[in-house]
Amino acid sequence: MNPQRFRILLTAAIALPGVVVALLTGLSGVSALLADRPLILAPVPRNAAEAAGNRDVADVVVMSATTDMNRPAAARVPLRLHETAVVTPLEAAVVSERAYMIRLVRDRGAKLDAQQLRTLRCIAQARKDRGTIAYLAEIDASLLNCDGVKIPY
Amino acid sequence: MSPRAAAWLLTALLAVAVSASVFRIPIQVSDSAEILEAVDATPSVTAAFTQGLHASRTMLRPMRQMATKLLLEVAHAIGDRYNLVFRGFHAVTAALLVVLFTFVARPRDWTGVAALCFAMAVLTGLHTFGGMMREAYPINHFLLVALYCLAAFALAESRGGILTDAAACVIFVIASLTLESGLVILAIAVAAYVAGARGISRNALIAMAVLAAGYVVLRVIGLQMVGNTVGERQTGFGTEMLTTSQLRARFGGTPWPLYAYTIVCSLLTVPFSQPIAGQWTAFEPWDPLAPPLFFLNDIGTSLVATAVIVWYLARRRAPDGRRHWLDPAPMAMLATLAGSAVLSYAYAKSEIMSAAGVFYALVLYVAVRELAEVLMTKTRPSMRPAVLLAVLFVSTAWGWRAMGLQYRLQRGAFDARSEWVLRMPPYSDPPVPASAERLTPQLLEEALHRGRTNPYLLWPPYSRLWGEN
Repeated sequence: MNPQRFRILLTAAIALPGVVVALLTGLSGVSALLADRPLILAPVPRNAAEAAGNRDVADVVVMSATTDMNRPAAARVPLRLHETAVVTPLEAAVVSERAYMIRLVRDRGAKLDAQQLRTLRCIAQARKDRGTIAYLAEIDASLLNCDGVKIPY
Repeated sequence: MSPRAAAWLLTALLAVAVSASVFRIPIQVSDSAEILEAVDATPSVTAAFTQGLHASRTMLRPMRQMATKLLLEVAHAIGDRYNLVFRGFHAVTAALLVVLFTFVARPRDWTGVAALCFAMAVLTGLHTFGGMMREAYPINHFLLVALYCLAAFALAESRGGILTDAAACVIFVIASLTLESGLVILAIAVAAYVAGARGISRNALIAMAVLAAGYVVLRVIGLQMVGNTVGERQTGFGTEMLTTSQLRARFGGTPWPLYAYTIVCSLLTVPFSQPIAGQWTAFEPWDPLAPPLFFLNDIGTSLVATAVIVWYLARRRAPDGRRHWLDPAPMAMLATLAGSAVLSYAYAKSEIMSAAGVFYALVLYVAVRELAEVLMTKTRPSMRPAVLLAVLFVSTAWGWRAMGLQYRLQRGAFDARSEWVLRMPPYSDPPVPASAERLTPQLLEEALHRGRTNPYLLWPPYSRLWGEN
């Protein structure tokens, strides 16, 4: 490697990562300013179930104004589920392992009948999450039979 | 393209990147909604300033109240668009800091541009930078003070004159009445003068010293204010984060060990990225199934960068053989580091050290520029491939940290948006009583409809790679 080539390569080695970061984040920033949509690191939930599963209380509130809060939808919950699952917002809320989310989804119009409650309790039991188990036990503490209940995994 | 044009293009891209993400973060409930309501109830800008004089027994920050009132007036004038004005102001000041950094660095050749790329990654990748960008109270006074510090240094390095002297004094007054850390500007001006930068004259330094004395008189005699004491805010100690009651129980009788510890930790946090707010978070027990890998990158990259700075400070400059640590930028960095650390004696906080982080990146810029020149001329041919790989490895690691800022800002937007549901009725008590709510309903409406993003939808280990805050 001759001195001239080394000089050029060394300059590039110092600068290149900074240039890549500036280009990636700068273009993403332009998109964010023009369309409120950054190109990187800013995914958004596609439906209310996905919002509920990913602890997105603000999107649950916003989406509940225009969405049927009892309708199942395909939800990605990378922190809790291995694959996309078709769940209702209430089921997704239990998957999120946040009791406040169950309360919020109910407050925003989701109906909780006996069958749905059994499903939610079974999901909470399968996840062994004490917070959601306790929240649901306050509503129904009867003996639980989870035969035939499909648990998202 | 000339080196100068390339440097400004890079600066523009990074300024847009940072300010766009800052702009998307909604005004927070905590530390913002209550202040906005209180300041909005004041009848005028002057009244807001006066309220700021008497708002606390320990904090003298009337310029913050005044600026908040001014921005509220603007927001009212354009149809109560609070987020547009406050987040816009935050975004513009963030962009200004990036632009001013390049203005002070002044790269003239391609080696300088490369060093600037590296220094920008350090500037935006440091944990002290994130704090200036992520939160506002509702104005981020730490960012304003960092901006004032850099502006004062730019004045010190200028040709000087009566206008420069006047500007330095005005900046000092505004900064010191914005946040106690603003007093560091006097230390920066003195340090730059001692190092040979004569942009701010001796007479201006005397005037600033008189103004500093006036500040003390106003604070101690005029307003009967006291300094921070143990237990006013939580702070780290060892690997623990102590609550206010734990602090009072442990250090209430003898506060000096805590003060000394906090000052030393604040000095260490900029060059070593640990401890964070006095807490040695990297040395807490790790979950073996989910190790926080970002600590390795944070500490490793900081160790290398600090080693480069130490090497540079110890070198002698060509014309007169004087060591570089006596140059204006290193002296300003040392003054900011020491001054900020002393001012944070009662509790450690990364944001308090943010101005020192800016000067750390600035000194790294000159150090990397010089190191590059040395490597180009003195590396043996057999060592060149290894040097290239090592340099690329370190700069990539810093680039990764800089990308982490974007992750943390998007996460900040998510958290701030979520607060507007979870910290409001029926889930929590409101930030202000319903009878005092004037702006809160509009702030809530705006917050819910801006900055949509959800970090939990990303590949889960992202928080392990960049940290959560």
